[in-house]
Amino acid sequence: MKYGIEKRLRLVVYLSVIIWSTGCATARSADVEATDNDVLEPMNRQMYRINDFLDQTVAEPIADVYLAYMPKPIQNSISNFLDNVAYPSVILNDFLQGKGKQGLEDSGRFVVNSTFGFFGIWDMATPLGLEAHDEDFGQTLGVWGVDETTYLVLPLIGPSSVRDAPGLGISTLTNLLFYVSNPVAVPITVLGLVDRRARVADAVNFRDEAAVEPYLFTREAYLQRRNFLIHDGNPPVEHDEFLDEIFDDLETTDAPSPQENPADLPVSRERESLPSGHAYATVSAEPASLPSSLHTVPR
Amino acid sequence: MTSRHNVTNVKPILTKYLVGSVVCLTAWGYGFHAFAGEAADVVTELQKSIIAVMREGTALGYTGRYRTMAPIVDHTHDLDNVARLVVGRHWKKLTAAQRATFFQTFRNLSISLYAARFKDYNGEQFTVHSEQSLKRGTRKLVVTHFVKSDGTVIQFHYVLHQVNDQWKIISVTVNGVSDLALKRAEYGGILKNEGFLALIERLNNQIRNNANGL
Repeated sequence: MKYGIEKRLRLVVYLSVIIWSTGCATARSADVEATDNDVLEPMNRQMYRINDFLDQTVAEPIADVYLAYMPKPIQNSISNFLDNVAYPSVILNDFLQGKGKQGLEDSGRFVVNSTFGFFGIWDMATPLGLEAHDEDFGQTLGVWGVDETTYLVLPLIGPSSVRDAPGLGISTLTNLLFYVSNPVAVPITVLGLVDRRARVADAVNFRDEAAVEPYLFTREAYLQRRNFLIHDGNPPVEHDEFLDEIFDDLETTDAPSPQENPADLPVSRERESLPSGHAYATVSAEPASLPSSLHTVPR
Repeated sequence: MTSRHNVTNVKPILTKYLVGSVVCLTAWGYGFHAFAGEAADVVTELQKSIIAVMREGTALGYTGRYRTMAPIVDHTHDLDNVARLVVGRHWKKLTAAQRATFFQTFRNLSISLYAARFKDYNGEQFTVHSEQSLKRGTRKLVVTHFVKSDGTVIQFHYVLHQVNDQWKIISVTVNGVSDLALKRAEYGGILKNEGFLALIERLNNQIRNNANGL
């Protein structure tokens, strides 16, 4: 395949990102406590706000139109095609993680879908027992023992980490669209962005419904989800350790300590500024149109 | 005019409570023994109730779903301890009044989330996949699958522990994301940066949004 100057420049940029990110990952794991994974929080929060604004004003409206008007079978075919052209990354990372059998199966999946599935438009492999897997270079670094390090919010891309950022370069280099001329690759890449946003629409809606602090919600959900994927959906040991930790914490914090002064909390200052009787207003979970006798929900 | 208006309001309310009572009795009737049995039975009971509420979701409305789920959530979840765990180290700094307020708000929120999320039925199913003891032996992990109508599988992992010889849910993890850990991070951050009243205000806003279907 013939490489132009533009392609070589892109390659250099991607490799630089990989090397920079991997170097940072190594440095971080040595000098930062595991629990302190958001030392860039002020910058991350700023980037989160910018991304959220762009998402609400540009990406979400486009994705909503796409979901509303693009027939579902065509949406599925587009997703299948884009997954297939990106699938070499999964195969590469299968082998990098030492999953030889899975790597062979995923290779078979790629061949079947690229041929019988007409360039991946139809998923012919799954009915044959060749299930799709979710692997990337960030997970590979996790399997190799690189600790969860600094959380990052990347421009336009969103949640990531110093460990996961190198995966963006690997994913790009192993995506077949990278080797296709721009007049073809650019519109497909744009379509891919719309497809990606449409696919996470449910997750974004869930966040909007469930989160009381969306930045922290997104950060914790991302880090937990990455841990889940690194362990191929089976990290119960860590889960139990997490519970051990918080139960131990609970046992030591059961009763208010006489040494602790509740006035140290910000709440105390707020309470003083509120009229008595209004400090702890609790909202009824039921609509106000119900008879008052029905407002008290029995325990 | 006023009395006619009242009569027309009361009928749908009565209908909702009648349907709610039937759903509740049906759900309890499925496996009353489950609450005294093993951990998986508790999860099964919760999930049967969820499906029953989803099936009647439209007829029940939000209020009916809330009222149906409230006793089930109280029986299957250890909300007392979950409320303390989600606050973390801040718990010991709260006064008794603050703790009571937080518990009541948190309980309302927990039930309202069930009522808001499981509001209609499109062929979804829960299946219990496995039950295993966690390493201390005092907790159990129940792995279940929520199968959507399009075949998409969502993993629900429940961690339960015993309260007065009864297994109760302490943590729910959906596709690798722990609700307990999420809330602990969120609430801890709000308490640290903005204080207790800000946390209560945000939780109440979320309850309002759930009730209004936002």
